Amino acid sequence: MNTEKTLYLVIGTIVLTIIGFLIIPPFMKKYSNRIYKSSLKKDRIDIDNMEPEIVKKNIPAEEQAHGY
Amino acid sequence: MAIDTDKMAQEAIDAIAEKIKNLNTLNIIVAGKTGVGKSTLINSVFRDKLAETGMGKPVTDHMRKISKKGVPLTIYDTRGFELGKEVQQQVKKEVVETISKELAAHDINKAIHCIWYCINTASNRVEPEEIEWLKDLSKENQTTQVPIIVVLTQSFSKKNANELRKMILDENLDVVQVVPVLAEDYEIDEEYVAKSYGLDVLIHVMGEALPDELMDTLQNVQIASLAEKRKRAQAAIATATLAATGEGAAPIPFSDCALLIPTQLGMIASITVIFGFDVNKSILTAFLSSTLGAGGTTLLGKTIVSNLVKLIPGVGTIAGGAISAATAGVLTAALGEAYIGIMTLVFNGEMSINDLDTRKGKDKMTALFRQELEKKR
Repeated sequence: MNTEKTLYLVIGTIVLTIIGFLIIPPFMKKYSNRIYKSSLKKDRIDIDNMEPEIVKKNIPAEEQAHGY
Repeated sequence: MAIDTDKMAQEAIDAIAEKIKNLNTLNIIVAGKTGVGKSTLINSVFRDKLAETGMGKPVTDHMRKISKKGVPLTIYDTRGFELGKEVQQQVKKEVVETISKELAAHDINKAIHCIWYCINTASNRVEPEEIEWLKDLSKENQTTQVPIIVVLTQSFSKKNANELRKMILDENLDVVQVVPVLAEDYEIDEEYVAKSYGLDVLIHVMGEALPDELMDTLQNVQIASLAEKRKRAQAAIATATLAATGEGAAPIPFSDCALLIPTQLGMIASITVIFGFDVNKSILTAFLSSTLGAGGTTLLGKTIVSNLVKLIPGVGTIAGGAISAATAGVLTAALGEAYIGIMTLVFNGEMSINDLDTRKGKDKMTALFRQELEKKR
């Protein structure tokens, strides 16, 4: 019984390790790209009503350092 | 339970370096007359000021190739378009030949992925030759199917931009979209300024048009849209959380610990690459110690308990698996969202990358992580 349980644990650990290092990373990359792309399709952008925001010059414009 | 944040940070750095190394190169042709604002547009959309004067090397009579080491982006900039119909035909021939030549290499890093054709809205007209050029290019493009986006530059007037856009759309050209943009703030008079806009929409349209394999690259090189970076990063969190939940449910006691860490570090690496910042090991050590090291220990304790429960055969395995799965999911999602929060602060200029390694930065990271944990409980 103990030998069986040990064998089960060893095989299970090996399988999970393989899953963790070989299957999960490409799965994460492929499906996160798909999730992102399908989110783009859901967003409807009203290009016809795009226009610049007009602001007064003496209100300081926000600095956009972007960190780059 | 002590967490070796230094070791984890090193693993994360290695994962980031690997992801950056594996980023595919995005190749774009930017066409249009001199003076329409192509360089300003390129510098406003992409990082590292690629379109500086003097950069780029000629690859044909009318095209120069701009690239920079460490930036997975190549811009093919066309020149001389305003010099008449004959030169325009030559430019078209060079564009088509470049597309075909790079496609023949069967290498995604060499293929042309998108064409921007730029028209200056302020000119308030499209030359018939430009429409003919676009029609001819579309015909030649039928086999190669490279997405063409018409970018209406210097669109400080909504009326002019809409009129021009309608004019182009009425021609039924084979283009993905016609996008009005204003790449830089425009001084209307002594009192008023028109703020830049449209660049985020351009990134959104490109995201829809480009293949999946270029999504990470697009986000890595673009600086125009925080919203798109966040969306892509949240997609990375969603898949990591799903994977972590599955790992937590694994019936083998303590197996989730071995799997969770690479999943979470992979997620952090993805988010770092998406935002494109130069994150070093000490910043990641600070992040991990401020999050998992501070707020995460309670959850980790819960993980230990649930794994002990898994040792009880039958019901214990199921119950332990359920607790572990939920805990792993919450921890992973909170970690990811806190990291996006930090990257957002840096993007907006509210903190610098180097601030993250200071007391102020660490306190901010701990606060964000705790906030996210509370939301998810």
